[in-house]
Amino acid sequence: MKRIIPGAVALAAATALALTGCAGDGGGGGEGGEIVVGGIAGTTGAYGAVGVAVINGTQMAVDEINAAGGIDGRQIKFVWDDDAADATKSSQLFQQFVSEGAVAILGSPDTGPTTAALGDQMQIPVLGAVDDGGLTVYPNGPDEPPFAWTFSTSLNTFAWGAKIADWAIANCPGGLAMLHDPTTYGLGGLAGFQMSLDAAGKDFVYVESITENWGSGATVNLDAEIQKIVDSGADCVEVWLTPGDEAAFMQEIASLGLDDLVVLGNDVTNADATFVDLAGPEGDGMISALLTSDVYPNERLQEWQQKYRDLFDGLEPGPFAELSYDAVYILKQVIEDADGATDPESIRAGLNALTDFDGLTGSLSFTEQIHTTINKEQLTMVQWSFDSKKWEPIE
Amino acid sequence: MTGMLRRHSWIGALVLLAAFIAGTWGVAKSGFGIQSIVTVAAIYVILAVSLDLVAGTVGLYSLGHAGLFAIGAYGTSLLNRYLDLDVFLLLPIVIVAAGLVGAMLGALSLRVSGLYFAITTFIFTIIVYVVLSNSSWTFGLQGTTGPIFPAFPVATGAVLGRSVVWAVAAVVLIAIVISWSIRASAFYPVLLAVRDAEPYARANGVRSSLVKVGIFALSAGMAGMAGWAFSFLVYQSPGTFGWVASVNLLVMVIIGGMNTRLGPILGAVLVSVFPFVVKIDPFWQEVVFGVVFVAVIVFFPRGLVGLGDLIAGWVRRAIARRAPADATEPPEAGAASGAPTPDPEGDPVVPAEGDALAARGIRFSYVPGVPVLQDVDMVVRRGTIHGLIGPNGSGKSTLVNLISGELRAQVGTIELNGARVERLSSPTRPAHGLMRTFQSAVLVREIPVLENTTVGLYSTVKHIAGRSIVWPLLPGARRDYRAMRERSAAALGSVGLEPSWHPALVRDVPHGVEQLTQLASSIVSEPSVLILDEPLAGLSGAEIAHVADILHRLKARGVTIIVIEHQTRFIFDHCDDVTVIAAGELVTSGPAAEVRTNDRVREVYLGQ
Amino acid sequence: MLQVLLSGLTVGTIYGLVAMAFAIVFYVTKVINFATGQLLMVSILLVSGLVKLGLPDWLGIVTGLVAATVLGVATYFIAVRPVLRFDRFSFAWLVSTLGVAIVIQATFALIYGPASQPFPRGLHAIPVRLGPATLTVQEIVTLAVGLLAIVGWHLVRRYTLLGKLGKAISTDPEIASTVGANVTAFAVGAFAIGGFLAGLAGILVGPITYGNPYLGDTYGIFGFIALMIGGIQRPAAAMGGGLVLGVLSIAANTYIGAQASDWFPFVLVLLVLLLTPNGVFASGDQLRRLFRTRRAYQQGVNA
Repeated sequence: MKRIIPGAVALAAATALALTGCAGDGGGGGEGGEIVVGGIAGTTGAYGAVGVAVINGTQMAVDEINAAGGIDGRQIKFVWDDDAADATKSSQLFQQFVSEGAVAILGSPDTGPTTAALGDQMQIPVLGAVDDGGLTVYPNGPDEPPFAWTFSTSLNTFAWGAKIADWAIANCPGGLAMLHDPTTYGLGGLAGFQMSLDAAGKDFVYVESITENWGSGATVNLDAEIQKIVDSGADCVEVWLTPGDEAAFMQEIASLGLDDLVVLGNDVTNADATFVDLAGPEGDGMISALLTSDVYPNERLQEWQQKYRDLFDGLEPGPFAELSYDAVYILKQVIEDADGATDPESIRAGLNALTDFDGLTGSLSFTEQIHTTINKEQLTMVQWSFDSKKWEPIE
Repeated sequence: MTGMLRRHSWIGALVLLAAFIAGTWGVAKSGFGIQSIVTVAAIYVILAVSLDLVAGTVGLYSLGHAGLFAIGAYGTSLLNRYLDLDVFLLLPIVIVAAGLVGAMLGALSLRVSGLYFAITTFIFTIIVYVVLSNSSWTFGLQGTTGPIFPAFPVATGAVLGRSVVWAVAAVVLIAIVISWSIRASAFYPVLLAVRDAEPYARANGVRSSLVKVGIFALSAGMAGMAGWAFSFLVYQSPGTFGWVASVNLLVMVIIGGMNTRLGPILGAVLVSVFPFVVKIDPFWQEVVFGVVFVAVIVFFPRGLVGLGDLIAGWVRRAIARRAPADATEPPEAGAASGAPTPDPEGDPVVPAEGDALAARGIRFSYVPGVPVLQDVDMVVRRGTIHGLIGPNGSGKSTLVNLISGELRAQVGTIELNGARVERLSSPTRPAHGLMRTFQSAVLVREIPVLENTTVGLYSTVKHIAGRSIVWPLLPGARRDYRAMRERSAAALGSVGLEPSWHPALVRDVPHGVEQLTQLASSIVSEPSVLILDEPLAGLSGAEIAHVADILHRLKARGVTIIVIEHQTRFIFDHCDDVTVIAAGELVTSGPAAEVRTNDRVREVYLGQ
Repeated sequence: MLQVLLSGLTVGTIYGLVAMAFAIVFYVTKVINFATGQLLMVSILLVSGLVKLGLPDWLGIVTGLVAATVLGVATYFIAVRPVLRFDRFSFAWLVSTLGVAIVIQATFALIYGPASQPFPRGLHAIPVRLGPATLTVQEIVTLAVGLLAIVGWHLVRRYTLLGKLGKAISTDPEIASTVGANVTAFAVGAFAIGGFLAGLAGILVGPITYGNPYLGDTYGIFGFIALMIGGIQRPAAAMGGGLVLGVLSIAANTYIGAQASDWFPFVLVLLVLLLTPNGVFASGDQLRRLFRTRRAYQQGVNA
């Protein structure tokens, strides 16, 4: 005991001094200085590419705005870190960025439930790629109010679910089966499907929840599920799983000679090239929905995409980069409309009143009740063509 | 001198406490960012300390701590949410709940030890994870926010800062005080004995199973307590409580330094703070993290504490070079053969009436149909030295293990000082006046000779286990430990071990000293019957004469001694009576002179 | 039913190979190499990477296997030997091998990026009908390799010094060295075999799971669980543990529900452990053990 005391005392005393020295920091960013924006995204882990796209898109917008003179003359300071898809680390980063004066938190695409809940608890606006919208933003279902402080510009599981379900109702006379992962992501997709199915007075012939390896990218053995889907008589199956599992599913049914089974994907299937790379020729025919703006990119988006490739060593842009880019410009507009006010309440009020913002991902709006920008009207059904290497529109 | 040291350690403790409070205050007044890093690190400190308590001290490598942690965290969040229970009421509730689960888990896995204890607890964590992630009432994989910790009143808050930081500090303090108290208590050598020398501990009256379950329950309760505080700090999702978290905790303990005061604390801080201090590209950060792991453990296999010791060593040497201190000479090997110090005066322990020990009609087999002992009788007269001999595999050790309660006979009776004990387990023997030693000395190698000897007094001092969690705070406990050390020192003296040996670690002493230490710990509680299992193994001629001398002095005090030996000369020279067994059957028993001339003995054993 | 069994055995063989990789290293060194899963990943990603560069599949596969073997041996020299030389009984290897696992994983993530890479489908594209069940040629090869691994290990154990002295070395290196055994050489041999088996498992599962730097986590865990089920003392039993885990997982998915494989095998294993504390395949006399009145450790007292 005696030996350790001097060291421990010195350590504790130094800590105390150091910490009292910075006591009292935190709270909103002061007027006139930099505007701090926090970013949280999972850039490591098997699906870290999504997080990288989110950070890149955000950084690009921040750099542009700063180069053009900032927001009302104030520069944006973008602080971000990898949450490693871990709720604890995400919570710690959230609190850290808030105490560094962040006026809003962007993300996270990997720990959306965490940032959304903390945004409400700490009354800090949460914006951008908050998971994939859906149940992350509306925790009690699509008919209940959203988190008051969370505004998702992200891909929206409700929208994709409802859009793909509409197509399936029209094109799958034999019945529809669904496999989904058990997170808010998969359950959000399920809720989207249910909305359209309920409206049409239909139901799944088979639906099952599958535990996925989002962290490691390892595929799950789906042999038993494929058999049950075949037994159910479904002619279409929605595989709301990781791109890796979707690819493995397509290859497995090709091996089994189940060529007539129509396979439907989700918003991540075509958000980047992971699925098409892995699935190879067997991926041909996969059906999903894509942002109409990405199916028919206008000149502005094409220019932006080229600029993105140039900035990030030829990395292919995708919707997650685009919608994160939009989020920063939305924040800029909201602050400017409030004459430079960056207190949380002003930003929240501004976001709630956002109408027809002209973004890369389309015309974006929020209201008190609607905290996701993307709805099914902004989507187009597409099918992967292995020959043309393109997601071809099928409407 | 000792009084001054004691006062110093009190002052040290007070200074440490003051520094802790000052540190807490500093954190409580700082920003959210620092608070979230420090408080979460503090939670991992509690968990690592609690894990070290079972892994380091009793050798139970639990991988269940993440699950127990989850019980605390989710218990607090969910009970507060659904039943609206007060957060302060929830603290004892979740501690008891996690403790009970720990006790059940411990009791269930008692029959599996070592690695399989790790596996059972590992599966427990997996099951907790599955329940948390698949149930809607736990909010599934989505997770949940915890309750908000009540803030201080405005005026107090202005001075003290954020309340939850103080709450975390309080539970950290509780965990550290408990763990450090146990390490300073008379229970600590006992725990290490349970870990390294379980039969020895049991022979000294330690109910080792109960101790293991109890310590695991205590550790589990601490993990629950950590969960309680954690629930206020961050968003909870099942991923935080997976088995990887359990492995991480073990990593924290090992990288810091297992079974040390500061090790688990340093390890927890290093692992949990690392990503916030080393702010580089996340991929590179992981590479560096892994390299740090490997480097620390390869260069300092004892962990960060080893690094600390190294630096402390430099500093001490640097100071010593400036002012040469009156360094005590290291004890010379072989000092054991020095003249024995006189016995502490003691009255004969038990009135010399009747037989000290009577085992009759003993039958035993490990596997049905393959008897190891058949109808063996052995009666030991009080106050005699009784030899037990037989060829290898004849069943001597089995017979001794039956007498000392390590094994239980299928048939037969054992009377010890007139009481029937054949149905009682080995930890009950000291209460009936029986102590024993083991063939190969089984002691705790990493603690000193003197502390090892105090284990022999376990059954004579009340409530050692119960008081251990606040030991240094109890004047009575400190007094008891002092007395135990004094009696142990006297016992060591009586077997001829000079005081210079007392602080030496067992792993550093020669074999003879180890044997004598075991002998000392078996006589320190002044048993009336003493069983010595091959006490001469590996001893030199001088040392053997020394042991013989000790035995005769013990006999003179009225102690009944049973000696198992291969050295028949020693047996026939020093024993009053001798029992001979061969192939599980009694050959003969009686006065040494008669046995020596018995034809069958000469034939089967002496080979004449 | 047949499909469940065959699918389960195929999946289980992969787990079993990883478990054997763990167990053979443990058999000789009493160390669990927590980087074993990462060695599987290394072989998969190297094949993915080299084939992408235009090299033939077989060259990629050979490189992958060699790399996994070499990295296994490197793990021994970097992370295991130094800590064992200090203290044979410490658990320091837990931290150091885990550290190596993190370094390997993060390095591959740096080089390849976090996303999954395609793996040549090869034999996995060819289905074979076996009565009511369908397997691919790759899966049949997997089953054959699993069988070979058990037979091969049996031969190693019976007819080589490594096998015969493995136990002796792990209990007391000094005794082993007195009979002329070079302890380091045996440890290197064990780590090499471990690395090779993990790499082999990677080649076999690659077409199914693709190449991802983080794969080691998932397969390391499954291999470890298989090891726990089979019992850590005997490598062949570890393979048995893998097969049990594989069949139970697929059966749980088929007959209980898709998420039942998350818990069903573990609950069953827990029950089995409580009945036979040394693993399902630990020894043949488990039933006899049940009838014994005394616990095993007490025999140690008697020894």
